[in-house]
This record gives sequence, C-alpha cells and structure tokens, in this order.
Amino acid sequence: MNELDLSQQTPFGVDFSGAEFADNPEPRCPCVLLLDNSWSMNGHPMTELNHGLAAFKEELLADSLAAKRVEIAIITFGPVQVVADFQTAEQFVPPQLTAQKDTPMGQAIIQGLELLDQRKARYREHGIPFFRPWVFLLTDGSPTDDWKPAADAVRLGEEKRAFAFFAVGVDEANLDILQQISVRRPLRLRGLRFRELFQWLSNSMRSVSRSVPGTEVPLLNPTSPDGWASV
Amino acid sequence: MTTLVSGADHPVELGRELGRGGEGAVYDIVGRPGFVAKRYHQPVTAEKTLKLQGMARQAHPSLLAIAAWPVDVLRASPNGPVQGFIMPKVSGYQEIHSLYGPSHRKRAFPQADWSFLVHAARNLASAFETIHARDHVIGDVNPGNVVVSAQALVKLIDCDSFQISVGDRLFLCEVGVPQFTAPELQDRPFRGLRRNPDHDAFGLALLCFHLLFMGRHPFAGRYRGKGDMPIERAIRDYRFAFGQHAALQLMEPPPHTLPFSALPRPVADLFERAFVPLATDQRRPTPREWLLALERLNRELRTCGRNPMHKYPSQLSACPWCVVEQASGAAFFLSPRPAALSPEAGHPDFDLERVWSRISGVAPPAIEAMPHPEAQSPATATPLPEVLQRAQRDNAIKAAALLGTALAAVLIQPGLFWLWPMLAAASWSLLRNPAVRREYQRRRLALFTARRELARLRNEWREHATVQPFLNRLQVLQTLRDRYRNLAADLQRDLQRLETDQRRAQLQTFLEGVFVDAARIPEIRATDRMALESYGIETAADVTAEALRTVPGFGQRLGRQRAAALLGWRQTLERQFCYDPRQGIDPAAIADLRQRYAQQRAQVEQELMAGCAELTTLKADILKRRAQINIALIRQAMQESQAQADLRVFYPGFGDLWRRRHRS
Repeated sequence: MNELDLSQQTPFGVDFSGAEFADNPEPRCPCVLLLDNSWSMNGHPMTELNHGLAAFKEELLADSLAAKRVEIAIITFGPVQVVADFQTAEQFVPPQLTAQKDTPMGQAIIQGLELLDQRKARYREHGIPFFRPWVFLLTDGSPTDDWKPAADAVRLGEEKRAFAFFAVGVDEANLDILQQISVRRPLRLRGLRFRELFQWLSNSMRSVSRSVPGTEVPLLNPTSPDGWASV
Repeated sequence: MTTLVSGADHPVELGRELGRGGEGAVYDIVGRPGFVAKRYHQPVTAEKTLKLQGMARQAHPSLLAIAAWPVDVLRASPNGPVQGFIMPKVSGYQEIHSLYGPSHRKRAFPQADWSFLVHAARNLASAFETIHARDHVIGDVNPGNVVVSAQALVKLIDCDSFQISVGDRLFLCEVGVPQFTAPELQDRPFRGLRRNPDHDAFGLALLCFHLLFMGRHPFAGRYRGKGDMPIERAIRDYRFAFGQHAALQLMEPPPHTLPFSALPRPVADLFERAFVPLATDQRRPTPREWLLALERLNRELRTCGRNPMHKYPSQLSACPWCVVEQASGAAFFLSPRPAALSPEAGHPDFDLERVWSRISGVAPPAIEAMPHPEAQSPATATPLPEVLQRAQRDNAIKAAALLGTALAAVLIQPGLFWLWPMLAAASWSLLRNPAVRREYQRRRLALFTARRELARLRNEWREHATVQPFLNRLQVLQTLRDRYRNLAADLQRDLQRLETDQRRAQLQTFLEGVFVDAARIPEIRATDRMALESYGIETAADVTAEALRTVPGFGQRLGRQRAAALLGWRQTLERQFCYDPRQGIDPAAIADLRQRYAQQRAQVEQELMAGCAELTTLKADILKRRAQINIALIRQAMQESQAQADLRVFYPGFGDLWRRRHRS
C-alpha cells in the first residue's frame, strides 16, 4: 500500500509563499477579471478601461477591511495572458493594458477558472476562509476560439456555487454568445462607463467582503437609470 | 443645518457627518464635543424606541466608559417619532481587526508586541464583564463592533443592537455574524433569539484567540476531509483546529501559526473549554476568568534575546516567534523603536547654553615656552683614566716616531715614496693602543644617545605640554555644538529628501511591476525577449540605455531601433505613472530617520555634557606633563652637554693641552 510514489515531486526547502497568509489571515474574497484587449478595444476604450482599473484599486483601498480581503487577478485575452496573479488590493498595481490581436475568450475563461482553483487550493492549505469568488468577463467582440468547453465549465461552477460569473459586453459585443456562456444575464456597458463599472464592482466586493462567507449579498442594480449597464 | 430635539425637548444641532453605514449615519453635535448623534435611515419601530429609551435610562457611568452607549434619544420634533440617539464619541480608536492582523497592525499599532495584544484581550474581557455585570448581553459579538486605542483600551460600539434588560423587559439582539456565533446557535434564526452571557463568552474567546494568534480564526484550519469546511460548519461541529482533539475532527492548524502548545496550560484550558462541547451544567469561561488568566499570562512573559518585540510565555525554553518567523518568512512584529528617543525633544536635563558656558568656563593652560637649558652650565669633561692618558701619550709618541721615520725614508729613498706612508700606516695600526679608540667610540655613542633622547623629549613637550591638545578638543566640541544647533534643520531637510525620494520609489515600484515579456512592443521579437531576459532585463525598471548596451541585438548599430523602441516604451510608462501623494512615505522609513537623528542627538548631548569635565582633565594633564617633561628636559640637556664635553677631550685645543701638562 505504502509504495514509494515516483511520480510524486516534493518541493525543496522552505516555502515562504505562506507569508502572505501569516501576515494577513483575513478571509479572502477572490475576483478574477477577464479583460478583452483585442485590437477593436484600441484607443479610447482601452484608456477608459485602464482608468477604470486604477479607480478600482482606489475604491477598494478606501475600505480597510476590503483592502485586506479582496484579491484581484487579471487575465487579458488577445492573446491569453495572466497580467496579475491574485493580490490583495494593497499590493495590486493597476496594469496599463494595450490593445492587441484576436479574442480567444474560451481559452481565457478556462485559464481564469484554473487560476481560481489553484488559489482556492492555497486558501485551503493555509486555513484561510474565503467568499464565493467572482469571475468578471469584459469583452467587446465575440470569441474567436471554441468557447463551448468554457461555457460548460462556467455552468458547472455556477451549479456547484464554486464562483459567480458575470459577463459584460462593451459596444458591439455579441451578447447572444455571452448569454450562452454566462448563467447570469449578460449586461451591456453603457457607452464607456468603465469607471462606474469598476466603482460598482468595488462596492459589491466591499459588501461581499464585509458579509459572511456563503451568504447572498444584495447588490445594487447596475441597470438603474444612472447605472453603468443596460440590458 | 439639521436640528433635532433630545428626549427632554432640548434642541440638538447636528454637525459634520462622521460616517455612514447601512443602518444610519453618525454626526457631530454642535456644542457637545464628547458626544455624537446617530440617525437612522429607516423609521424606528415602537419596540426599538422603547429599547433606546430604556438604554438611555440605564446609562451607567461604567457603561459609558467602555461603550458607545445611548444616553438620550433624538426626535425630529417634540413628541415626534424617535429618529436616532445620542452616544459618547469614540475617537482615536481603531477596529480590532487592524490590531490582530499582523500586516495592518504594523501600520496601525507599530509599537504593539504580544504583551500589548494580551493586554488588549484582558481589557476586552473587562469590557464584557462590565456589560454582563449590568445584566445586558452583547449578542452580536464581531470584530466590527470592537475598537481599540493606542493604549490597548477597548470600547464596544453599535450598542443599540445589544440585548438589554430594563426592569423585567428584555429587548433582544436580533442580528449576528455566523462566524462569531456559538455552535448551539448556528442554523438558528437570530429573530426572536434570547441570548445569555455564555453565548457572549464564545465570542469573547474567539476575539481573544484572534488577538493572541495573529488574526487566525480558531475554527479556520486545514480540513483533511473532502470538500470545503466553511467556518460556520466547523463551529457547529466543534472543529477547533488548534485544540488537542483537532486531529479527531480532521482538522489541523494552518501553517505558520503560533503553536497552541506555546500557551501556558491555564490559558490553553480556557480556549479548550470555550470551543469544545460542554456538559449541560458547565459554562464557558467567563470574562472574569479570562481577565485573571490573561493578566497572569502578561506578568509571566519573557522577552526574546534576539528581538525585544518577541514576548512569550516564560515556561517555554525558546522563543516561538523566532521559530514561526523563520519558517514562514513573515514578520509578525515591527522591529523595536525606543519611544524615549525623540529627535525634537532631547534629554530633558540638557540645556545647550548652560552646558556650553560650562565648557567655555574652562580656561586653557597658560602658554609657556619650551625650556632651552643648554647654555646654563658648561660641563667639565670627565678626564680620561690615567692608563688611557698614558696610552694616549704613548700613541702620540709612536705616531710622531712613525711619521718621522716615514718622512726620513721618503727623503732617503724618494723612488719608493708611495711605499713608506703605507708601511707607516700598517705599522701604526699594529703599534697603537686600541683602548683609546674604544673609549672614543663609547663617548661618541653616549653623545648620540643623549642627543636623541633630548630630541625625543622636545617632541614630547611639543605634543603634550603645549596648549594645542586642549585647543583641538575645544574645537571638536565647538563643531558638536554647531551640529547640535542644526539637528532640527537637518532632520527637516532629510525628511523632505525622503519625500522627493518617495516619488522615485513609487515610480520604481510601478516600473518593477510591468514585465517586458508581457508588454506588446512591435519591434521586440520573441528572440529579443529571450536575450533581454538572459541579460536580466525583466521589467520596465531594468530598461535603461546603459543596460541595453550590453545586450546582443540591442547594443550594435542595427539594434538601435529596438533599443529606442524599448526605451520609448519605458518613457510612455513613466508618463502614464501618476504619483499618489496620499500613499505617503513609508512610515518605517520616517521612523528610521527620526531614530537615527534621535541617536545622533543623544550622542552629541552626551559628548557635550562630558565636555567640561573632559577639558578640565585635559588641562590638568597638560600641566602635569609639562612639569614632568621640563625636569626631564633639563636633566637630559645637562647629560648632553656632559657627553659633548667628554667627547671634546679627544680634540683638545692647544691651550687645553698646555693646561693639562701643567697639572700633571
């Protein structure tokens, strides 16, 4: 039974990666941002998105508890790239995104969910309670790759309450496909209200992070007349 | 400006809004600085009105001291519905999570060590005791309702949610946070729930645990079973992750935490009793028990020899903090900064003007020339002993004879004129008496030694017997005095420099966060990236013209365009960077600087205060040395002239020769 498992690798030496949890054992509220930086976002939309990200950090920092609890990871697609791995708002440095090529949305979603799973495993390993993670997809086009497996993964995760998936379309985004990927109803960004979007996101994360892990938090309706979204 | 009326119909004018929550907003009260007003967003129910009025009647001074307890109700108009209440203002306190979480603590409570945390827990227990002593129950115990001061004093806020007993009426606390709710209340609705002090005792134990264990929740551990173990479920199942039965519950403490066994038995027992199922007649540890145990714990703490911020129970043989910090790489406490040293206020007894007047009161030793006693006493030469005098005379006769012979030989045989002097010299060396020569050498050596010693003494005089050393020291003290006067200005200058550096540091951090391989720069191909990476250029911060020069494919003529593209990219980033003055300077850097100045100040003060005594000793020393050297100098000068006279015996003038003949 207790045979030596040769396929099992063991890490070398002392692992200091747990220091972040020793230093800050507050429950975590992970949030994955899947951001479209395909070429169509070039120019004004990209600038607004970058400003929105900067505002996002500011808003989170304003709440001392949220600053310790909300963790942000960013994956851009076009091509898929992990721009920022999970960091609390304090450590998070808003990136300067630039527009690139196509829109491999499916792959981005799969990778985002993998990143999330890894993070959750680290929370469990370090005895850190966590809230239901949020995955936030932002796109202005339609996927240029096979998005079916991603849609299945999202549905499965939502059923198991492993995360909450939100999709937001910018401008000419194909909401029909987003509708098929996201269990929740996708929203369309009004104009380029990225800043308002991230303000809403940080407010929501703040109330989630102040709540109790595992309970539903009533969110502000973003589709109200002065909100950032339309249906 | 909004004006409400108090319970006794006095007008209450609301000032600045201090904060806003889900339930209501809190305002200053104009003309009542120690109190604030809370006004609800929603209309207040009749039950709540009665509760607030009851609380105001129950407002005992002991409660007001430790809680934001309602002292009066507020209405929009006399006899109108109650809209809020007045309570003592709690300012200078911070939410307890900013104390127990290490990262936040290092900023909010930089001086706090474990002893401080134990003390805060003790004060927390005391606050619970005060509430329970008046038959009330806190109910919704959670980190949001407890605040702590810089002196570890604890206050409870959001008191209008407490469970209050007024006479025979009981007003319930119908809210709660599951993560801080006792196991027997889990899965039960808070509405209509009647709580008792034992339920509070669970919350108190939880908060004490957070304080003592660096913000860890006692029920958040590593779950060895399948799936997730949310805290509420762990609480319901009594899965205390640190306790002695944790393994049976498939729980394990998280890594990098203080081992539970580090606690002395009495305190560990309290936690065990608070977190495990109890028999029906048993109760969880009361606030009083906590208070006593924590006080005792704090009395019996030891300080680590390596880090004075590490405090630990004295029954342990080694510092547990050193072990955890080494294993995790985390620093739970800031390195110590003695509070007594402040760069502005120096030593309380130090008064520069007084100290300086004492220093300048020490008169320098009188200026005095070095004595030159050579001319004083012409020494009489020690005559050569009789034997030597005779030898000398014999030598002279022999020399004269040889000289005469040689001269005659030259005259007789001039052809060999070169041979005769040589023969004469050779014969001289054989015939002369060497004792005379030896005596001559001895006397010459004596003179040299005497002269060397004299020179040494003169040097010593110049070094130690003049006023110079005194003046040198005085000058050093003057420099110190000037530095002392400039300390404050220098500190200001350095602080300003820190601020300018701050911008640079922020920019650096920003650039260090932008990776070259994640950037999209059209001119840079994948192979270029590899080259950059292998030359250590990973982030925008590494991109400098100098660094690029050495990278293959960038330094040469052809690479210029690529290098320019990369540098341009960095410049664009630098332009995009915006300095955030609110981030402020790293408090640790400021503290460091002030610490350095405080140390400097203390050192200068010490030196200046010692200055007067130092100069006095120096002066006495100079005078003493001067007298000593003077005597030695005179003695040596005599010796020297004696040695000189002794040597002169060998070069007698003719008169001298005559005189000697006469005598003999």
